[in-house]
Amino acid sequence: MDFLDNMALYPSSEHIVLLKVIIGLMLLVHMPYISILLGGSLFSLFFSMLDKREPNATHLRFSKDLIHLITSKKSAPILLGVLPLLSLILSFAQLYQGSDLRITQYLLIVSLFSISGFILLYLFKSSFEKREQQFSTHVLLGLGVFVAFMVGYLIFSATTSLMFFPEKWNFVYTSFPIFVYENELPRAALFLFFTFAFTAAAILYFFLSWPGRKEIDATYGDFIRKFGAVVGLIFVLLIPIVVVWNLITFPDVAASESVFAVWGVTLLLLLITAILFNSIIKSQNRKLVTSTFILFLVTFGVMSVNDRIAAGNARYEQEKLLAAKADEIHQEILAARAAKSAAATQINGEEIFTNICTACHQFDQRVVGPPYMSVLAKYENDKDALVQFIMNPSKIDTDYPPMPNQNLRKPEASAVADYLLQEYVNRK
Amino acid sequence: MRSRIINTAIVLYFGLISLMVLGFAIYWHDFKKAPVQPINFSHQIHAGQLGLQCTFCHTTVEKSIRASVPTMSKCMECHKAVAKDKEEIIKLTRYWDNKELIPWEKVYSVPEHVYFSHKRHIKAGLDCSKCHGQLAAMPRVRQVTSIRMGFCIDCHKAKGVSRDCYTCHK
Repeated sequence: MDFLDNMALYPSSEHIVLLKVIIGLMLLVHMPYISILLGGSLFSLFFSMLDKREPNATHLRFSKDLIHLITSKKSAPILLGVLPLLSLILSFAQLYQGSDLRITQYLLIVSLFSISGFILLYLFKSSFEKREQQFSTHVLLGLGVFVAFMVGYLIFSATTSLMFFPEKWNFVYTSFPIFVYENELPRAALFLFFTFAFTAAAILYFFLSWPGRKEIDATYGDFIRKFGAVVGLIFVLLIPIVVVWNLITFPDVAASESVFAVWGVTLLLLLITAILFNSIIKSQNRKLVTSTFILFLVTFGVMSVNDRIAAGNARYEQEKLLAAKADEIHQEILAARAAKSAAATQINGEEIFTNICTACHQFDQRVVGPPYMSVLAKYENDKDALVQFIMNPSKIDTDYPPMPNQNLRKPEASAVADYLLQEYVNRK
Repeated sequence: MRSRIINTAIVLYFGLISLMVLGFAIYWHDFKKAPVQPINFSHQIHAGQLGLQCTFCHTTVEKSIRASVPTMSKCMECHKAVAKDKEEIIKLTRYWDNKELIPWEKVYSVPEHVYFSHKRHIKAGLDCSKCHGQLAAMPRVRQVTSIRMGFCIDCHKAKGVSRDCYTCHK
């Protein structure tokens, strides 16, 4: 992926901050969407298979409603899926320019799996029509969606984790950075548990609280509420165990007081979310559902910020050197511009004389105007007067026609005057 | 009532996890964070801005298994005259005048059962930054590589050199 390295300039320190903000925002848009697709498609498949095993109208209805919910906006795979991924690839390529981390390669592989997942998702959705006749195809497509997103985003979480281990970058030779070091497993588990917990929160929100939702009967609503709340609570309670596992395997080079503090904030947010899920099991209060969903989005954002802090800690020195290199190039550009500007402002008086004055004047003979040797004497110690005359000529000698104004700017007139007086002195 | 019990259990559970995270934070702060040195020596100034080579101060690295900390006389070669009014140089001068050793905090420690020779690695053409990071950008030295066995083996594998146990565990 050298071509991306060659395209990118070294980022300045302000540029690095901007890149991190862009990355954070793209992750905040992209990861919750992928989580909903992954979790939603898996739950949809699960309930479809449950219905096949033991016919249950609610299960089948929920399975279909889920898949329709997560595929309702046809533009979403582009706007929330592909475009943010491309932005992430370009931003990371800039941020990790010149490093040994093959981040562009890994994220391109993630993109391929992601795009496959989107295609399989819509095929899975359309397989509901012939579900009864082609159930194995229906299941295979559902599993295909799950596998495509799972593998792709396992690679993504492994890549994110690899950013915290600069000492490993030289030694990861595989195209799939999976299972080469111990921090990958807790990161993968964190991603999975977060996915299912967030999907549960999203199911509760979009079915029970969202203003654009379809009206549903109380029994169905109760089923969704209990399913979402219980699943959400289970996975939110599993996340802290994985957080501890992650910290056990976390590299010291990426750690800082900020990282631990933000983990503390994340745990606090998860605690509140767990209590909310527990409350939703018993209560039909829509505000609890909305609060849970928003809180989860905030938690996603907080975790994304934490990842950026940790990655920045791991690469602190490299980023400083990148910024120093950018400053050096910037100074070179400014110096080159200044030199060019100075060259452009140097006016050649002899050139102006040759191009303009010689049409009417020579030093030693009359052409149209008087010879210079006869008129320059009075200006020998008064250059300013000569410059003024060149800029505003007036008729002095009746033997000669009036000199037309040549519309020279003062620097040009001054340069010509210097040349004329020097030549006068040389020829005297 | 049941909901309240569950909520209490959730709070206690998260409390326990938070205490564990706090424990990790304290452990990292006390044992893994860049140590505060008795004199705030900056590699960023000396190796970065001034461009001093590593071997200018760490003179034994090409001749010995250890890359020693330079003697105070090395520092005073320049700082007898340079930046004498700076607080850290005043501290240095005080140690010099009192003939006291500077109690530097070690950043990289190789366990006693491991034999590591700086001389061998320098002669093999390895740059200091491979293990010690970009020191020219560090205002305070911190450990950037784990220098655990896996790190060493990865590099030995990549360079095609001996991975025999006896190489490092003499």
